[in-house]
Amino acid sequence: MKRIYLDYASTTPVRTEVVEVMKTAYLSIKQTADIDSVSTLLKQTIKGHEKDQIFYMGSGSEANQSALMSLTKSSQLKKGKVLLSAIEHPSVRRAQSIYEDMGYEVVFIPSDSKGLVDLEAFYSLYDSSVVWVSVMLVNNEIGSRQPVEAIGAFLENTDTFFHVDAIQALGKITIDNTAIKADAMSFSAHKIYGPKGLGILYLKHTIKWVPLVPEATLNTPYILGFGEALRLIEHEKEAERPRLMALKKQMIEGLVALDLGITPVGDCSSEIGIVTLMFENRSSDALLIQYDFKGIALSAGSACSSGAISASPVLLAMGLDEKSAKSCIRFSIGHYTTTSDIEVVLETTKSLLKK
Amino acid sequence: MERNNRVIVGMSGGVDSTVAAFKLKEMGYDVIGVNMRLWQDDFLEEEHFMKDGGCCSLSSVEDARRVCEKIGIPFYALDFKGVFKEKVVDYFIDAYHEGETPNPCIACNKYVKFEALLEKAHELGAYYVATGHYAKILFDESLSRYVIKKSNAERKDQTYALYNLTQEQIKHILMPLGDFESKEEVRAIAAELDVQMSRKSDSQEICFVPDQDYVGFLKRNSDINVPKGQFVDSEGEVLGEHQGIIHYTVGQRKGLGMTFGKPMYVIDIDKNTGEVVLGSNEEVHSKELFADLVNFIPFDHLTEPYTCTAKVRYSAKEAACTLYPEDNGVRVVFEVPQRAVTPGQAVVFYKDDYLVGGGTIRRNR
Repeated sequence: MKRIYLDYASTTPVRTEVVEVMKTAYLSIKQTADIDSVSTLLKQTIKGHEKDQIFYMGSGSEANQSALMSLTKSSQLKKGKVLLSAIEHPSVRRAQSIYEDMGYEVVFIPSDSKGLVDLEAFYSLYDSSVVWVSVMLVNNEIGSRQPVEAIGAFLENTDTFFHVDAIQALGKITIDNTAIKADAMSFSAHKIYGPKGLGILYLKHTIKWVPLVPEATLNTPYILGFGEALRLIEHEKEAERPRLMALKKQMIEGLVALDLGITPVGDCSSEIGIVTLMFENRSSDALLIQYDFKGIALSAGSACSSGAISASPVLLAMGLDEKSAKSCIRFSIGHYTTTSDIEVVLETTKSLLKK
Repeated sequence: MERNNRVIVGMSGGVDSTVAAFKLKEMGYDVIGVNMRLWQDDFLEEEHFMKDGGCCSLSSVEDARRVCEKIGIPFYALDFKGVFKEKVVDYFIDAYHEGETPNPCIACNKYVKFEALLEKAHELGAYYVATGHYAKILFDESLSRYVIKKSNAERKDQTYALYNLTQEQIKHILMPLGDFESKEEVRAIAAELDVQMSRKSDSQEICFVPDQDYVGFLKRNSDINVPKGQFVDSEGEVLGEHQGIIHYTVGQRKGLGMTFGKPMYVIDIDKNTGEVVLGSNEEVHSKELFADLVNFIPFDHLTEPYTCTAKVRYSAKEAACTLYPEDNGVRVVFEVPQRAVTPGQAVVFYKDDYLVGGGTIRRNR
């Protein structure tokens, strides 16, 4: 049975071209210049300043947490309030207790029912004691694009640092930091067909970086693999985006048209191949297993390593009740998804739900 | 639902459930491994998060996944936190505040493993749920009922926690470890599988209170104020002050916080007066008890006195007794007085090697 993978938001297969670059890198020793060119490519991609800084680490989750930690270590961050959006990835949301142990007060910015950070709430939560704000660019469950430009503009002439988790956005939509005005951004290689185990942190050149673990040797093959993955996805982006959007439309409209109680959750209008669908009166765990039996790999919310399905905190933050949240499944498409895959998904869904 | 050979096995990643799944697969069943995610309190969840650094990388889940891969069966983790919290944890907390000593494993079997998991199994097209319990399930033609028999691995017998199952539940349950002669035999098969398994001890500790500090757990998870109270003797004479009724269980001798010149045991707890009654070794023994929420396996109801044996707690020895049917329950009269008959605990009845049933021990009827 050919398996159909619709969980690209969790992780992506490594592309052959990337594997080739990594193979070559493993067989040579000195490539400092090559690493610099990857950093330059990333800065150009997000319209950063040429003096801005790029740091490589073990995961996107690490990148999400280490920015605040590094600034604390170097005393650039005063003690005060940290605002995190309520729909951040767990690596940001669940850092709450770590930040609190470090002496910060953590406050969550609520989300509206569409899965968009509530700007009015943000403005009213903000005061001069806020030292740090973290809001993601694209939500990993809903695919909703957050109003980060408004937040960046609001924070521009303040002392508050602005961090943007851009892990789900890189390579898929345009990221323009001259408009977002983030001080820090995080990325992950394995969401763009690069290797797992590489997170990337971008910091504005005005910020001093103190490594949390000094003297670490860089993982050159991973970094060069990431560079190749980024080059490919950026090169193909303009052609790939309309193709993926057509597939997303085919999938959502097709599933809704089955008239079996399936509805998209929140704002699914973004140009990101992620959508969460609610299956009326069904439980997502049993459905996921049934899809898996039929060869379709999906995910309910942010897939933790255990694969266990609790009600998604993101969906709860959007105002869904526990039962509704546990009837939702995330579908995410990517480079290898085809029209016929979507047709199989529609057929399979029909046969599963009509039983 | 129509009978089929698909079976959901609750996998902890430990030896027993692993061998159960392996054996069922060898017998030709269509086996699916499931790890049940159960509720833990925030304190422990956070401790776990800090320690393991993952959003939910509970090690038992990874162990279960690994053994399923090795056996060659599909594996899924499923969330049972809600039902577990409501039917097991809340019951556990409430019972202590009632001055009782609950048995959460029995509630878990009744409402979680053989109700919620069984429902999920049916949703997935499986007729059966299997577990690594050491017990035998048989169909008795003459009674036209399913019966439960003790396992030959006597020391490991786990029928005590199964007395509450209904015929409709038992019909859908497989317990492949019941046929093993000993735990060693099970371990030998596990060793052949050559895969790392979790090494949880066989002790009867409560899974959601892994640090064994149930008092700390009760305080963290309940708003109910537990006032200090008085130790009294059976005559009502005040002997001293105690820390609050949730700290004590019938039969307890250690940890009373004071000495009395002779061994003293908790013989009763009165939640209305807040008194903990202490007494001698003789006074901690009872010749009879009343139990309600009674369930019988080989028959529906008790209609006349019934001679059998009974255990007043998991670790107790079976003792000869007679059951007398009463309104809403049974009266159990023992031949020899039993130590620490504890309200909230289960009394479980046996006839020879068969599990007859059981009920919840109550202070009064």
